[in-house]
Amino acid sequence: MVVTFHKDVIFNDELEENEKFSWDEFVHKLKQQQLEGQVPVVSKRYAISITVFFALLFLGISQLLASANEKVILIRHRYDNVAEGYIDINITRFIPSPVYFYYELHDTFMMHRSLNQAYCKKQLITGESNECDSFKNQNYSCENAVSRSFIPKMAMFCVDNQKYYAPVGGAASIMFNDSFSLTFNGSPIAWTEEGVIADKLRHMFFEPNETNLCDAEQFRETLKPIGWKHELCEMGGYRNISLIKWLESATNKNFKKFYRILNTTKHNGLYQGVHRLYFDNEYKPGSLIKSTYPMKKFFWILHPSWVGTDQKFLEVMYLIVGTGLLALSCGLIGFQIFIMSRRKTYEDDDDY
Amino acid sequence: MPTEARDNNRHIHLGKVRDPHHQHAQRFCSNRISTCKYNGFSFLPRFLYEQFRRYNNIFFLAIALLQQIPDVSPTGRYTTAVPFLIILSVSALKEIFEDVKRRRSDNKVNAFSVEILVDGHWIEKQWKDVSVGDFIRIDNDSLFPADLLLLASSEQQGMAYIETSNLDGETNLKIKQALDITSTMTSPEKLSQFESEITCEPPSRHVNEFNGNIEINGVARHFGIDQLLLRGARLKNTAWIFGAVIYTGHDSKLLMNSKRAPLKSGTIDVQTNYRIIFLFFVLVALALISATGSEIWRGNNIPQAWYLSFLEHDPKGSFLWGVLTFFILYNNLIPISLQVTLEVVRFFQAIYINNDIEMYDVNSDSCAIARTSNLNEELGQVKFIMSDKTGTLTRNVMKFKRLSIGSRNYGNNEDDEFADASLIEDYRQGDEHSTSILEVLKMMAVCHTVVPENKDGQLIYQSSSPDEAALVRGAASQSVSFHTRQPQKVICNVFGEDETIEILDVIDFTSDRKRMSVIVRDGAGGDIKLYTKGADTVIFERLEHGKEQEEAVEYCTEHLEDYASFGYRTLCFSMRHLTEQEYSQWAPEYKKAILAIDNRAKLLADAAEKLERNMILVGATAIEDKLQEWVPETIQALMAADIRVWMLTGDKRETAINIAHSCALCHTNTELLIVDKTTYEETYQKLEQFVARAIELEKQEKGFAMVIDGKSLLHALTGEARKHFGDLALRCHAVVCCRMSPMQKAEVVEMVRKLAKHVVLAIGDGANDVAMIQAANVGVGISGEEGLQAASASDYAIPRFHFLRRLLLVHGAWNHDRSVKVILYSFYKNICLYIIELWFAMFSAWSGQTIFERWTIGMFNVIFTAWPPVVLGLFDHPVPAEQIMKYPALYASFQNRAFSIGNFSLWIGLAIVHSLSLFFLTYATMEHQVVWDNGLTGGWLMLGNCAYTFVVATVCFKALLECDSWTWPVVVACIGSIGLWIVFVIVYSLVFPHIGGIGADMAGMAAIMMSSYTFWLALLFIPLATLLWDLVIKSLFTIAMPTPRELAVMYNKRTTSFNGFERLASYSSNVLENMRLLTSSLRGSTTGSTRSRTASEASLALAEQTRYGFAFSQDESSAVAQTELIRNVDSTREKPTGR
Repeated sequence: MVVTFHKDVIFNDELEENEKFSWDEFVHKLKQQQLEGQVPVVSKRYAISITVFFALLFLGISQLLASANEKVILIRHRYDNVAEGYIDINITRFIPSPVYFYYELHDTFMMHRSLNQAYCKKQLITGESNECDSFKNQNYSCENAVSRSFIPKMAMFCVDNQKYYAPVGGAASIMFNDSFSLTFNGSPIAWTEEGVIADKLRHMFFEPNETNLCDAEQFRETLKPIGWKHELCEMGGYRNISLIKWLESATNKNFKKFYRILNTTKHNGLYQGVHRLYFDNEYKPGSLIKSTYPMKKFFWILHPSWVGTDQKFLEVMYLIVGTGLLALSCGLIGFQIFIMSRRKTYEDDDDY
Repeated sequence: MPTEARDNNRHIHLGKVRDPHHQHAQRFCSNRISTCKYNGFSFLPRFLYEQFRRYNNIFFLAIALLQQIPDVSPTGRYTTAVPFLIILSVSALKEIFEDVKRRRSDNKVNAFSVEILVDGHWIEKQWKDVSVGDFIRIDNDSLFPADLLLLASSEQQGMAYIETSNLDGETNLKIKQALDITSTMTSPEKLSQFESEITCEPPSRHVNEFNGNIEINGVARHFGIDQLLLRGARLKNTAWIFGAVIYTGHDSKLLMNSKRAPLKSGTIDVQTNYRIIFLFFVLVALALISATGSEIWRGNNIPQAWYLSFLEHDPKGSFLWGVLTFFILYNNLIPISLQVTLEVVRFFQAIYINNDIEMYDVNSDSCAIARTSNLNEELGQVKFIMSDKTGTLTRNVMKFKRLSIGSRNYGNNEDDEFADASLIEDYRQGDEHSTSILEVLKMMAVCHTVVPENKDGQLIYQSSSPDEAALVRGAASQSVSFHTRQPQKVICNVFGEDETIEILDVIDFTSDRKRMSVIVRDGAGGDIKLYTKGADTVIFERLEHGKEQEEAVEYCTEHLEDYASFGYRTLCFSMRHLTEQEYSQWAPEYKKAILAIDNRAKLLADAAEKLERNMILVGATAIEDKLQEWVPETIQALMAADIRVWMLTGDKRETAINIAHSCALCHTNTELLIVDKTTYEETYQKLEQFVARAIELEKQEKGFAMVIDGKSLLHALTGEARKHFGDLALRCHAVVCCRMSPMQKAEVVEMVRKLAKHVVLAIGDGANDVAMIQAANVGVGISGEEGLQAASASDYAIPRFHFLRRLLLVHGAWNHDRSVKVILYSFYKNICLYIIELWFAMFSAWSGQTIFERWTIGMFNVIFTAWPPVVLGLFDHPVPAEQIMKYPALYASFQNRAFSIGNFSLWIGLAIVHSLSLFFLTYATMEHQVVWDNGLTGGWLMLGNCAYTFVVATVCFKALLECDSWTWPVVVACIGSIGLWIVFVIVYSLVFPHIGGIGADMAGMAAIMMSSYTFWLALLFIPLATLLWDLVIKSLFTIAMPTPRELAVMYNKRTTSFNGFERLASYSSNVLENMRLLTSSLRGSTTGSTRSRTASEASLALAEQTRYGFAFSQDESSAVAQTELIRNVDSTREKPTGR
């Protein structure tokens, strides 16, 4: 059985016919509604052709995805429930470059509209904080903190008449601040921030001219966000890669952020053996009111395939739909052979 | 008469102006007409007023205003206002374009030429220059520019023939007569010296009522409607007339009746409004549900998130604020572009109708015109057609076809006119049969009210009765030529010799008598004869008794039945020789009856009855009332499409039944249910009987039709009889209503609309049908006069009746199917995209966060998916045109694909299922977020833009799936829309930071999204997986239960269809002709039996009577009586030139 596809036929016909048209003839056909066209009545021959074609296509893609998924190496560990401050990770086989490191957070509120893009673009780009008093940011201003802000205990963080946070906004205020280090046989694994974000994107952010960032005019009257251990100027300013990465919007309450990349100039991969991950479990955005907070933390070590991480869902869906279509085409063929042959079909009825 | 204060009458001075102040004090309406809707200053306020009378426009305006509230709108401030302004601009351009067309049409009418008397000379000016009080001259075959008082004409005694088809739809000539004191002013010199004062009633819309006084030299004379020539009427068979202008411009009766047609809404528009209202309530419900979800989420989660705790206290975090937020978020469930898309689609559909070469008439060089595009899809749902007769089904051209004399039947049906050479050959044999031939031809040439006129050496007959003119022309073609009429005699050329026939007396035709008689004397001192022509029933009753006459009646009856089968109009001719004594005894009695005052009609009838007896049957004639082209084939096709065809006519019953047969509205075996009672009780009983009879006939599967006249209709439409009448009428496949007034026609249309709740189409050719056309769901006019306002009352205009077939079966079915798809598809694509916001709300803490970028939301309807519904509405061919013309039953099957609640629910359900599939498949695919090989993670807009891409692809492929004909515009529009979105993303992602502040969220997004292989794999899978099941279900239904359309398409793929309408019409015509021949053959076998002239039952006799095509249209109460016309006309007098 030859598989035919209507759209291809149409395009071929159109290409041929367009060359024959003169403009007057074209206008005449357009006005008289006589444009040539294919009438796609989905009779049995077309139904079988279409289902067989897509069944084979989907099954093929499913196998393609399966082969890609086999190349993915993913090691994922939860660390917020570990008290020792380190985790021993047993790498059972060599992980070739590239190797990417992520942290993953569960049960966050970053998908809320008030936190989505809850930062001041003007401050990030120009360094000026004067015009950042908007709906999403006004509650984090120290000016008139008692009367305007609805955040409890806001006043206790406003000292020395400093008016503005740096950076401003709910999303910036709760920036992730856990740190990690990885060792193998006592030697630290070298990873780098190069490649976590594009340089073009990084250079869009503001950087003062002074060598010591805290001396810049833009940082003199600013206050570090609640829960931060250091001032932003002590952490590299607005071009801090962790800050920029954190401010990328998230649409899930469970999300992961790109942390580091294995330095390929010093390591060509992670070798088999036990590695030790040291971390400080200090990121607790809900600790202010000391309630039980259900957020979970994970650390990822990933070697991706050409499709990224393990894309199991698409593989399974392609397989399911392809199998379903294949079964349907078999059913149509069987219906045609065993049932329709006993009935007079309309297409072959000469007396119609 | 002195001018009085508060006098509502109109005072007009004719002639020279003596009192400038008096002239200045009376200002009348200008003759310039204007039907424009806007001007430069009134366009903006009136346009905005009309636009915001629509609920959906008010809704979108409210949304745009709500978005201006700070921090409420999740999609910014301008994402509704900008598309809304674009749509309003498109509508404004359309209104401007249409108004310019109206202005051009007005200028065309105002520029018609007319001759106005200025200083004793006729000066050619334009219609707009005509003023009240002007003297104007109108030549033959010209239209009257204003309402005129007839002063004089080229005919004797100031008579003028006019055609009023544009006013009342009647194409028979009417006679107007000037007052005797003005009819002698037949030259401009006399007219320029004429002075008078006219007092008449103020302008009114009544075309049959008028009263006024004219004062000449101190003598006041009354004049009425018989002296008024109305604007829009045409001068016929009269060389020229002089008229004085009475009413001008919008004061004229034509313009007063030519009000703008009421704005009709199609049923689809009404249903669409209901659907939109339903969606509005769904929108409100969704907003409330989402705001409730937001409240629940805040109660459970706020204490754990100190950085969001301000939502607990801030007024902007309240429930009401949340409702507003979600209301704005979901507002696009109502498609903002549906109205403008429909208008664009309908506009071009109207262009298709206007440009259809199959509906082009070569003779009149005119095409079909869609005056309104709001009702394009109504043409696809027509269930009843109300048709006028004269000028619509017939051409008002009478042709003499057949002649029956004794046992011989002359003529044939194939020739256009009578051309049987055997008639002359039989005459020259010189036997008794030849005497009968001579007598019949002489009666045809004498017994009439026709006036001959010699014009440029050619003999022309003027008559108010087209039947009489046809008979006179028929006799002339057989060498008995009537060429001179004088008050007391006529002169005929009988086989080469002039013969003078003296007219002694004339007995007028009346509808009760059904006959006309003249008493003539052949030559000086010759024999006195009585010539009578009339219906066969009244003639047969008055024949002398005897075997010879019974035999003649047998032959004649046989011939009449043959004529009736072809729908001819028949007349019987009889004569009687009178003795001098008999005539001298009868004549004084008849003259006494003429002069009688009391019981004049009865005395005249009694006197005539004494003479019209014991006559000899001489022969019978058959006249064909020529139909418009392809009328029987068209009506047959429309009936095959399950459309009920009604004929509403002001003509007489016999004429109407004749045309019903010849139009294939009824067949010879169709039983006629005739309602002709004059009282309410009788009408009620008759209708009750007929309802029972109709039920029996339906069980027997026998065709039946109802015939009712205007008098009976008055009772049938009132009280309890209305229900019976409606019940009976809706069962009939054809209904003939005769003697109808224009308002009665409208009442019938209204009744059918209310009782049946179906789409009613009314078709007519003149102002007489305006009320009917405006009362119908769809009004179709036969375009006649160019630029006249009467025709503008119709919604569509076609040059010929048979184009109605293509208008309904092709354009109607196509437009209906297309419009339904446009509407359902627009709802589908909007719900498919915007309901995803509801699913995403579950994952975004019910905070009102949108998943899509703000501007892409607004541009979805305006740019990315704007074209698929348009091409669905313009280029989709549900079935080839030739196919539906050949099988009209497909039209009925298209009506079943209606815009029903079930169909709407199915599309809405599919939209919801598709949105669920699109969102959750995308969410699951992108959940891991690491979808690149460089380790980057996706964010908010990665998910949003991927979902948006998949939605655009899905809805565009859905359009291809639902399209019944994949022409290249459809394919280009669907694939191009997807490509347009891809291009837009690429360009939009490059905007920031080059253009200040715009598109910051989308910076680099194109490269980010398209560099992922997961995106491309999902782009292949998710739209196809979403739509493939639609395709599977559709294919299963096609294989197992194909619809008539699919059967027709599959059949068409195997055979070569007809090329063009002409071949199809020829094929249908052949079938009809064979049917006629077969019927004639079957009837021939029964001619041997003896027929009795008397019937046992009255109703049977009445039914028998109506099978014979007696027809004689004659003005019974015109300005000039028939007798006076014959007595006063002298065609030998030289006519004044009027120059």
